[in-house]
Amino acid sequence: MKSSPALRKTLRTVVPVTLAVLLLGGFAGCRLLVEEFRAFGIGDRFVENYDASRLAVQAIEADVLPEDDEYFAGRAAAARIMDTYGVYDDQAANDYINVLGQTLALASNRPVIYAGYRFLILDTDEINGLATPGGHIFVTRGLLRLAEDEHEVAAILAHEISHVAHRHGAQAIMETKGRNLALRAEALNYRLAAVGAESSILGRGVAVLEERVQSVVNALLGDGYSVESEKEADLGAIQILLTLGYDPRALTRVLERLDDSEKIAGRDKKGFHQTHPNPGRRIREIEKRLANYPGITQVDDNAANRRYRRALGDI
Amino acid sequence: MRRPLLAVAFVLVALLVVAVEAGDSLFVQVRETELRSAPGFLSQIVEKLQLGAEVSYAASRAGWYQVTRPETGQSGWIHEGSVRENKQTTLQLAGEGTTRTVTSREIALAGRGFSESMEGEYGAENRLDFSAVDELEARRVGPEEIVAFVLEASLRQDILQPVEE
Repeated sequence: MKSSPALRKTLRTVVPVTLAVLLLGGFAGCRLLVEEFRAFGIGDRFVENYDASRLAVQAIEADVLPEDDEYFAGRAAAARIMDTYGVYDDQAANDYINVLGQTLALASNRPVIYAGYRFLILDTDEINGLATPGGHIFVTRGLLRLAEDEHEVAAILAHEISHVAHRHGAQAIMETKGRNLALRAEALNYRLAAVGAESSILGRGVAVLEERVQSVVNALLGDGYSVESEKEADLGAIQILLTLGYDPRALTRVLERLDDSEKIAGRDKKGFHQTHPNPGRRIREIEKRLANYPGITQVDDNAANRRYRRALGDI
Repeated sequence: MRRPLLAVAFVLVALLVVAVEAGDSLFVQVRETELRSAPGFLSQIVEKLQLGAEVSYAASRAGWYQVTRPETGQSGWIHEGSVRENKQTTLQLAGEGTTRTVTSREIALAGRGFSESMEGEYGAENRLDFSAVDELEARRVGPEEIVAFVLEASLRQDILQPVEE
């Protein structure tokens, strides 16, 4: 992505100031914000009309992204991910995780999203799972190899679904303040101007999309989501697994193997290890919630394991 | 350009107050969804609805809304995640003494087409190919596959049933 060192430096200075203004001064300090917009050269219309700018920022601050905004940011992030990694070219394996995944998604707290949930295996030994805000969920062969049965594959997918269901990608977008905040205000403006959009407007729209995609990609491939988001995704996964009768402890089993793999790899902090917090801590949190779980599932393990081995036996 | 911006600001503030009542207008906020005969994902489809389609709210049950299509009088159930309240706001435009009415549905529909063009530009600028994403999105699992998958391994069947009161 095009992000010059000078811009980054400016962002590092301006973003904390913007946040401070929003947190401490409410909108009384909006003049400063408007001047920052001007400094970026992207908010002339705000500067023209002080009231409009104040209201737009206020509205955006409190709003969640519209469904299709999440979707289009997610699509572009998905395109970047698929540009980085190769796709695991095995129809049966990809079909299996799609049927399993879309079944699990129906049991989540957000079964309906703009264009539905989709699942794909990436052809890499790296251990990683990535969920875009558009519902595109990628799991690597390395991650799937940590699973030993359908319960455990379900646990992996349910965790990623929960990131989408809890809008963690959208949060990553919303949390990137400063320039992004101004861009979002403009994006909303464009929505109404969109009919008969001029090319200059389109150019600005692309900048908005670019910024959003970068926020998502940074979260997915860079720093990962927050520890709090990971915990929320683990708990969401447990709820999904219980709803369908899968063993929720499958999640802790996968995390234990992940922990082992980390030890072997010497915590080189790549892939999953980089984007997800320490498994030991997550296991303890999950076990706390499952203290009273009887540990009996009604799943027909013979049937589940047959289809699991057929689809992912050679992963 | 002042008017649209102001409109967006007011409408979004209005959207924050969420309390759906009988007779309220809702609109479809996802690409496509189904109006069903009962509140459940596998209930019979009455009608397919596209982004922006309007429905009138009647009642709710465990995450599902009972609604009527004003255009056809057709009734059915729709998942709450597929719709958003259609707020109408009359705006007093600052410094102009005039008013203008905007709905949240208009804002949602205004993005249509624009987002696609934006993606095209973004893809060209970054030399990104979206055909692989399109292919991935085409892999939609049908309800009969989900039913078969759940039954084959005796998974819990709650998601297959209409929700109870």
